[in-house]
Amino acid sequence: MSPTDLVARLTALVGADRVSIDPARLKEAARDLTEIRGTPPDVIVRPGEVAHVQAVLRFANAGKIPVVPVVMNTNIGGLALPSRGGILLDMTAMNRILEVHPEDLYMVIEPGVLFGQVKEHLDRNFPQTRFAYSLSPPETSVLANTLMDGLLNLSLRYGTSSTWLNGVEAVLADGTIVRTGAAGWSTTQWCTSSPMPDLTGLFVNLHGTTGIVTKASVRLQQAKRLRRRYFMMGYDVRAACALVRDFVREDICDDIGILTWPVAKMLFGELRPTWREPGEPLVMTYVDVTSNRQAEMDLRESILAEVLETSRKSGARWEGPLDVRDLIKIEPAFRKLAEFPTRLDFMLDHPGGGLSWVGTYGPTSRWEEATELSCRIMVEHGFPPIAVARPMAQGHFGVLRLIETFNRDKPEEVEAVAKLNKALVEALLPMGFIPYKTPEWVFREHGSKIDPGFREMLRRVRTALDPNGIMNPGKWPV
Amino acid sequence: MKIQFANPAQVTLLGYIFASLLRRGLADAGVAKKVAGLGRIGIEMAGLSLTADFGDSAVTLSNGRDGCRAWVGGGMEALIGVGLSGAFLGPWLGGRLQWGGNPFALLKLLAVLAAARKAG
Repeated sequence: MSPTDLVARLTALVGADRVSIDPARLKEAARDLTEIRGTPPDVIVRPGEVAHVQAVLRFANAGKIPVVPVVMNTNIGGLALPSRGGILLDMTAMNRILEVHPEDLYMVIEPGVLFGQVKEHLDRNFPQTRFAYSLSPPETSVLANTLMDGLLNLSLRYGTSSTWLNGVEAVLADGTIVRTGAAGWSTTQWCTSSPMPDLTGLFVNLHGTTGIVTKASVRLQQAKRLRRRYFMMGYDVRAACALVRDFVREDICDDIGILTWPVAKMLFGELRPTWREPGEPLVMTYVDVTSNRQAEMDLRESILAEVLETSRKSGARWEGPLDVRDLIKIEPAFRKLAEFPTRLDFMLDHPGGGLSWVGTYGPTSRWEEATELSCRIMVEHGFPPIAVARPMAQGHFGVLRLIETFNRDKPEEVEAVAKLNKALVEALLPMGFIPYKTPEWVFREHGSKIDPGFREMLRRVRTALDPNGIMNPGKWPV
Repeated sequence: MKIQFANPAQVTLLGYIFASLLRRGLADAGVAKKVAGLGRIGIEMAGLSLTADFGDSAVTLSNGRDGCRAWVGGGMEALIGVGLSGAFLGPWLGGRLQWGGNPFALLKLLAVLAAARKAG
């Protein structure tokens, strides 16, 4: 089909103002913040309602035209980059918070809803509830994060973001609408995925290859009146990992994270710190403690101090705990780490604006060796050793993320990042650290290691839901 | 008053924090005038050391502590406490803060920290 015909047909389906072939936009849609490059889509369609999504998918399915969904394109995995052109389905216009149920603790949202929007809406209208936020800018899609199993600042307590889903409404390749979770049976509530068979999983971590999610019910949590964030500066990665596991065991924190030393310097504007004086702290560890009652807060804080003291007695050296409010008074730059979502200007505002990572989920019992090995590899490749480690789901597993900033306009830097990421995955995968928001190149390099039975089952599921292979081709290839 | 690093390629976290404090404190022209030409003051925090050399129109920050006319040091918590409260007698009496050299020079440094606190 010629580009003119394609635009004419899509215009007839959704209206001219929702179809774009602006060359600059098409070109920009072939890249994201990372080193990964896609191919420009043939056309961008911006649906405003579910019927638009249905119409576009029916049309694309009939013509076997690839369809790639995107919201803000900040997934850091090239997951919304077309690999075979086709239609880029820009979901930003479907951005309504449709329902909030403070008693039943859930909200129903469209894919274009952003973290900042949710925070503002809940803080203003439903202060008795809270949602969780990722370490990302406020202009990040909640549903994209949720469907890609991202991590939030309440993930230690309640699991990664996909576990917050009560169900989704999705449009399949042939235009069929499906609702999962309680909404699959009930028209009056969507506060749970139980006791329905868990078909929501068909749309999680599959990067739009099984359907386009057009709304979802996502859990809210009870708000807490009191909240403190403390930072501790440490000098030993191993002691930091052990301390975090000790904090997790005490069950006193909503969120805990370890950030390596370059992050602190980047807060002050250093672009890519590679020099560290031997006496400087190696890691910043932060903890969030919340409660509705001062007495409980005091108890949690005293346990925190006790665990830290035990770590000191075992030989670890720590500065702190330092209340982030005090740190901000001394140095306003710490405000960027005080609350999520946060402006990541210290990681994004630099020449060429590139940001990439190898983000993994794996066993916290192997954090020490994995972090040390990863940092060594990063330094060997000439990059600052920027690592973030956070325990998830009450310590059942943890995230280990290795982050690079680079200039996307310099081919040599793009190549260096690709080479480094490859080396990191090669080192981490055998240790059980599996890349999340898994980029296409990881499958090319390591897909053969996936269990054959798993692959075959996934292939059957994909074929059943998308027989023509139009849905975000190239992602989770089977 | 200008704030500069002697070696911009090798700045410690202490250097960044202190530079930021000075930048805000010395925005007050009266305070800047008071510390102009003060000379070399040392800061030690959690094993790191820094020298702030107060000239007439610039403060130069360098790693290490050499030839200072006064110095102050302690853990990160203690120094942040001084930065927040401006009080250094309590932490000193409690053994959490150490100092040496000319106390009047250190009092002038405290005035910079107080101005930084006010500036927010």
